[in-house]
Amino acid sequence: MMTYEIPRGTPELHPNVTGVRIMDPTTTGKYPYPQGYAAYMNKSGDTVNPLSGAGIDRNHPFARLPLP
Amino acid sequence: MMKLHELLEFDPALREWQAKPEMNPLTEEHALQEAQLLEVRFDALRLKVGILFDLRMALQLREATTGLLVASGVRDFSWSGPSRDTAMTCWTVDGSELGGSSDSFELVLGLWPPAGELVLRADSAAFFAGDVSNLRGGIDDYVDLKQSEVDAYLPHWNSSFSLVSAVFRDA
Repeated sequence: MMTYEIPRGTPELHPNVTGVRIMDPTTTGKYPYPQGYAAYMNKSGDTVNPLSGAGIDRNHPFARLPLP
Repeated sequence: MMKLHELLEFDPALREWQAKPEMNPLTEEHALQEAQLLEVRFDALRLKVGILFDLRMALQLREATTGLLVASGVRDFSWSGPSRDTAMTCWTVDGSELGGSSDSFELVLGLWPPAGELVLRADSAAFFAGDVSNLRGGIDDYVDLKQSEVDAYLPHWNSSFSLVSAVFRDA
């Protein structure tokens, strides 16, 4: 896993978004992400919608963005 | 319906529980990925540890809202993590690694925010997944959540709990 801080004022991202996790590929289980995925976080560590800054449901497409 | 804390002294009859979770956190690595670590209870008298998880964001465990890992015969237990400047922190499992030998169970949880880590080694373990009744959904995030609202939004030891699945690992 890699984590990156999001600079405040980054265009297109909500100001509540403070970081992004880049997760390693997941190939086991019923929900694989063979190339890994990205998840945006706020300052408390919650996974959030990068556009609204609000908490997000697991099934929302922005909750885990598959890497190409 | 039982209280979550009652599972720390679980009925041996539960070993006959037939339903299994989608992945087994006691035998399959990373089964707990994206689960949220909520609370740990350590019973030094009986050498038991209970680890409570919110599963609503879990990647692989989607059939229940709440998970509880109960370890017996605890030999090692440790927590390490950075200081935090928020009142509450959402500790998300980014990896659950298994170790141990034929006579022990070992679990290492890597957690986000970075550098959070929980290590557990015990003689045996059980994992219960189920649903907490009257759990409010729609939690936005921990930034604005008040302490008085925590019990309504998150599973806790006194929550009423319906068991969905269970797995066991013995020495």
